[in-house]
Amino acid sequence: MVENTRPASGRIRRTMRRSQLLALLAGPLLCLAIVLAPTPIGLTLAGQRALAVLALCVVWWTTTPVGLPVTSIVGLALLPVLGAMPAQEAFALFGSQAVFFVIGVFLVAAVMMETGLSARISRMGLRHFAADENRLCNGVLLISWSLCLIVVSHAVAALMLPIVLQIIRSLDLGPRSRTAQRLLLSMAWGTVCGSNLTLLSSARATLALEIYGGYRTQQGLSADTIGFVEYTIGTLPVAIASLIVAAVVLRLVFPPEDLDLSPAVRKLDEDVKAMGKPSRAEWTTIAVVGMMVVCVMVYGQEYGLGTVALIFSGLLFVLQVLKWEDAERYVNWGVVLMYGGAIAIGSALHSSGATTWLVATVMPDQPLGPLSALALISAASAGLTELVSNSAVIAVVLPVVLPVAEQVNLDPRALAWAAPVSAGMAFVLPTSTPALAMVFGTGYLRIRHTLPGIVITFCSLTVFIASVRWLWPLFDLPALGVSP
Amino acid sequence: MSDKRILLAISTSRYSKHLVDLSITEATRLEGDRIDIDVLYVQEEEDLARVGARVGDAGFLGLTTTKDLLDTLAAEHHRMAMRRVDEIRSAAEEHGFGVHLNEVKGRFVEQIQAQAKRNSYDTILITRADRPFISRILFGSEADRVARMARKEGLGHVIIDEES
Repeated sequence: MVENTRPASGRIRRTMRRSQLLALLAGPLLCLAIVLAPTPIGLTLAGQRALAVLALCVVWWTTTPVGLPVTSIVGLALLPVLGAMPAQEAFALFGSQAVFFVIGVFLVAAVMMETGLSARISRMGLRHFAADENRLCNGVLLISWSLCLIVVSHAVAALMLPIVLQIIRSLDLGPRSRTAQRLLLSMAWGTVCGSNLTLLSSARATLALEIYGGYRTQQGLSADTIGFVEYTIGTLPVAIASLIVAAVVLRLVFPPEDLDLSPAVRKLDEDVKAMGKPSRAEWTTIAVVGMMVVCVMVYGQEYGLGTVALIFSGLLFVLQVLKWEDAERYVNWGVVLMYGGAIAIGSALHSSGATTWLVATVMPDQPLGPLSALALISAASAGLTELVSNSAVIAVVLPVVLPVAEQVNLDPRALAWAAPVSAGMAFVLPTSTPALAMVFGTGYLRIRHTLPGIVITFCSLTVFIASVRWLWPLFDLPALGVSP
Repeated sequence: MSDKRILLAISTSRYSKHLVDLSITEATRLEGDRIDIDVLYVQEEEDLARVGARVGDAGFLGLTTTKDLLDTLAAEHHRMAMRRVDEIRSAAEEHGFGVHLNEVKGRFVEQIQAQAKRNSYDTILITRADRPFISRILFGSEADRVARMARKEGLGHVIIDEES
């Protein structure tokens, strides 16, 4: 027998599992059942149809028999077809500020990867931390977290994984090495904790703010947008707390193995040296992205986040640091369809009165207190995000829970933070976030290794609720027990 | 006494030190003139495809990023395969058994079937280690599928190692 040490080349096939086929059929069947059912008292026909569309999207977004953007397209098309929302109104929501800001968020990630700036920052940072195992692992955690300040967390995970694997290779570590497992999990958990840092860290926060804005408009209230700085102040305590808890949990679960790190240090030194001095494109990127962040903070509320993001995204192309081909290669443009569709479905649920009816129907006679309601919604979102994409959690949960705020005397603005923050607490399952899917994909980790992530979720939720209760009033953020 | 062949089928997620020990025990038990252990390392494409789908569909990262990532993971799986084969080789050489490697991409059951059809094996060894019970209940057991397929097609005696 001839020894073959090279994997045979072959196309990766993706076939639909039986469970996915069932989900594919269950979505439209549930939608049809709701459409054909008698309209309940207190619910408009448009509201019933909007709930039918939501039902289909919930089934498909949670079980993903088709991609998330495909579900959004189908949901968007069904809104006018079923009479839940006029076509002109539904499609106009694609032009929202949020959609264009998300485009800007992903273009920033693209230029950081294309110019090699993010890889340079990571390698130089890691070289600084590579003194002992604890420092190296904490360095991976901290750098992954910090990069999320300006680069969307999924992109940080994608750029950090090859660097972490390179360190593992240089140390000749195997899949049973605790240090290798800790390094990989530090990267994944660092991006998960960092995804709650700013509006640039994840697109789900922008989606949440847009759905909240749409809800306000439907209620006939002022726009009352939440700014970049305001959002960051609200999320910073939980982002910092989750980082510290993650570092402690990782240290306890994966004790050091007393490895000699010199091969990794040599490799990092070689890589840093090979990169040479920062190129003109890297300096330009630093300048443009830096200006963009400043302008988003200063002018974001006045001109709209999307407007500012578009100006600086355009500047990246004009200055030739990013080409359109790069944008096509680095960004999955399905993101626009996913977010545009989710915003339209959320808007249809509010304008048709479907969510108000739903909340009035299912809310208990003795409603919860504002703190309990906030804790319950946050915990439910955090639980759901382990199984479902965090964008899908926002699209499904937020439109439904916003009317709850009024019932429990809670400022609905608080939910515009609570939903994306808790939907970002995905620390355990590979289905929860691409970062965990990546590290599980290496073959080094099993679910038993990530189970202690539940501790981080619990601590992060506690810190979030505590900061809403005691810290937010100091910064004029939504206070508990105060309806707008 | 005659020549004996064992197929030791492993993958990134289907491997244990105990399985290697078991393959040596089994090779010793067979008492052939010449005993060869064929190591089939299957890079499970569907596992990688699932990661790619998560990165592309839920992370909204473009084709280049996704492809680079999958290439990185595939290279790591290959490195892992080489490490494991080295472990098997050194254990087998101590007992004078020959070791041959075939590294392929595809589905675990199908690749074992194809290899077993090409060569005649006395024993096929696989592990259940690291496959959680819940996963087996929900998605069925690949190890049991291999055993059923081998029995039906007369491809060799299958031993499923339960220990990690």
